[in-house]
Amino acid sequence: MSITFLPKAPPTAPTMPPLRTQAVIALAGTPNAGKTTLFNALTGLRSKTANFPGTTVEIKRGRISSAHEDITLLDLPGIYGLQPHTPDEEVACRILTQQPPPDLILAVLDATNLERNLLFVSQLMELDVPVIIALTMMDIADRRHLKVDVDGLREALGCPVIPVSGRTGDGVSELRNQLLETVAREAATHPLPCLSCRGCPIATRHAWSRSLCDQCVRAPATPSEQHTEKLDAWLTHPVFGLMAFMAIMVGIFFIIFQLAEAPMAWIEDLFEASGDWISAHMAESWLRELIVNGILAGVGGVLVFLPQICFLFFFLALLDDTGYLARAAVVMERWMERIGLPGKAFVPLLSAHACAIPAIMATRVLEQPRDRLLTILIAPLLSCAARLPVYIMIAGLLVPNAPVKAALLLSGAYLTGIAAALAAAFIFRRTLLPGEHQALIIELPDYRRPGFRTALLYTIDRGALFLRQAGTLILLFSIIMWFLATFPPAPETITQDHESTPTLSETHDRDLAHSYAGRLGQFIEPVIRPLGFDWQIGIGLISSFAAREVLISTLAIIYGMEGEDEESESLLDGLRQSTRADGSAVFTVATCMSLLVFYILAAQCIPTQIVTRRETGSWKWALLQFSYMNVLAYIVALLTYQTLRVLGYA
Amino acid sequence: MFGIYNKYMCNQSPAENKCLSLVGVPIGGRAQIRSIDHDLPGRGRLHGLGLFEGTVLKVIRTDDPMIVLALGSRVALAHRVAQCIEVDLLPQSEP
Repeated sequence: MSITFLPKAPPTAPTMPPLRTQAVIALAGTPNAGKTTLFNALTGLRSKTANFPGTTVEIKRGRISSAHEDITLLDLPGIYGLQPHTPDEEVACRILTQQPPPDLILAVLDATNLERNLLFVSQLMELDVPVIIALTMMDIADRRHLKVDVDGLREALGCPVIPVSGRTGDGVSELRNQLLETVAREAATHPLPCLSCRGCPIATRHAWSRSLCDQCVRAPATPSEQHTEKLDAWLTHPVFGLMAFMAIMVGIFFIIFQLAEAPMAWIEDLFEASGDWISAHMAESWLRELIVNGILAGVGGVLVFLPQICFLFFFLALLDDTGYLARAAVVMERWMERIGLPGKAFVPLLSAHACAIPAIMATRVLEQPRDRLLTILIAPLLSCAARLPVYIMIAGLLVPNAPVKAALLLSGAYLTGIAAALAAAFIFRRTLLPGEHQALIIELPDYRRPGFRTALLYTIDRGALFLRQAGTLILLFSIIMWFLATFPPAPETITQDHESTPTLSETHDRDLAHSYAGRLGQFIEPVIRPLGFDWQIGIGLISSFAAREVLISTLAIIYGMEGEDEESESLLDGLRQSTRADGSAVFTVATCMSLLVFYILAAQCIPTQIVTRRETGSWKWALLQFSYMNVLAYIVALLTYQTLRVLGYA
Repeated sequence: MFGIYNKYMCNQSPAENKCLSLVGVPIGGRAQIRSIDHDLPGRGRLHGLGLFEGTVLKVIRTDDPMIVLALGSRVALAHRVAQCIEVDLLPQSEP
């Protein structure tokens, strides 16, 4: 089976056209060389993330300004050489080698590992572009008693070499001045004689970098690696490493949920207060209804998860900065390879617990297209933050006032998602995407203290991206859902048929039944009835395709609890007391469990399918993802409901 | 019984049989890369990480994935990859 991969820019498409209006500096370096920390130190908050034209690979752009120059700095994905192996690396190499090339390359070199970093520099210096070298990690080099002769290196390379520390700011202003000066005077290039033309290019480059290091670096006779080795002995151990990984992950999730609780409540209160204020100050009209019950309810329902998502990205960035995530990939490789997944896939899959969209985008770290596709297909099965409010609502219905049982139920929901994802990976690997996964080859960077500023800037960047990507689409769907649930209004004759004056709730039910959404719910009722769902829940299912958590606000609207706090007791009480036409309860144990299983497994997030299409370059994979998840959800929910019904829980 | 052993060993005479697959190097052992299988999908990545013909390695962990120290960097390699790297075992005292 042929697998399409990351969509590339068509040959005729211009490459990064907006950048050529001003000077461009490409920040290039190997992963973990301290590139992003330096980028943040040089640009501060004056940066934004945008996709490279024609692809979904993100490039951070920042600005360095002076009285005379306004320069764009591009933070390229980390690369080990000019032969790309992943979509990210491909974009980095394209930017470095494209025509016209960048005005300047700022090469970031790890001073503690010059011999290997110079292999990369030798390739950069063969390009016809001026190069400035920023020497990072000098403090760590000092601690290891590595003496780097910066002047000697500068002389040997024929280009400026500046020691810097992105964290302390040492050398940053000197580097900035050097960049501005070099761009202003259009410095000549200092190409090395072509090393790749002298026999074996790798051996020649290595001989060159080795001789340069012999000349410019003084290392102690016995390198001190005991700190890292001792930690690695535990953290990459088959048993203790796995235990440490589990403990770290559980700890992070616990902290995330604890820390996010208060800001989530603030956001919820803010939207509620805004709704109340608008209701009090605006005359009753369809516009007021749209703003309060459509826009504020819908958008607020998504924004409430922003704190959780931000905390997750913050802690992931900190972990990455410590060097631990690479170790976690080693630990997970041993287990994940048994089901056909590469160990590196665990980071995107971990992110999927916040949101499937960034998780799917994070699969770009995987080198083999099949591995990437497999991870993309299963990522939405892992319980994202948007499912959590639905789980909490169902736990409240099933086990009220029993926090331990509720916690077990939530854990079970998360574990069911993980088990389903692993089972799906196992099956896909043996059917649609056969073959071995890319064997693990990964650098284990030295352990180091994480940079809070870098993690914070990364979190702000990711949070803003989430708001832009999810918020806009959710806004649109919220308006559509409000329209479908409000129009057409029920004719007066229906309301006047009643002998007595109908209650607000009854009027609301009739209006809803008459609306487009109500008709749609009634249309699909025969299909969902075997799952224990009636047409009102059917409307909730349909509305959930905008975003899963919309189910709660939809149920609140459907069951006539408009304006109430969705997770409050009143909602749960209302749902518990709701009955069918024959007087039987709607939310029985069987229905609740069926609903829970359906929400764990179903693909109900259209933005996820849109991102899947963008990342795979084909609608067929997005449709496959959508179809298999919903068919699986239907079958398992059906089995759950029918089994519990037979056992007398319906 | 000798199948696994033969898989890791090169076709050399017993007298000069120091050449073996990287998987066969014990913990703390030092070895120099003699060759890397040309058909190995991750060959380019290995080169980028400083693992190429002539590189001297030190083995830190031998279980799968194994961990080696090369050009000052720690690199984790699946055994599937390490089996495609042919090395010459070096004496412990050799620099």
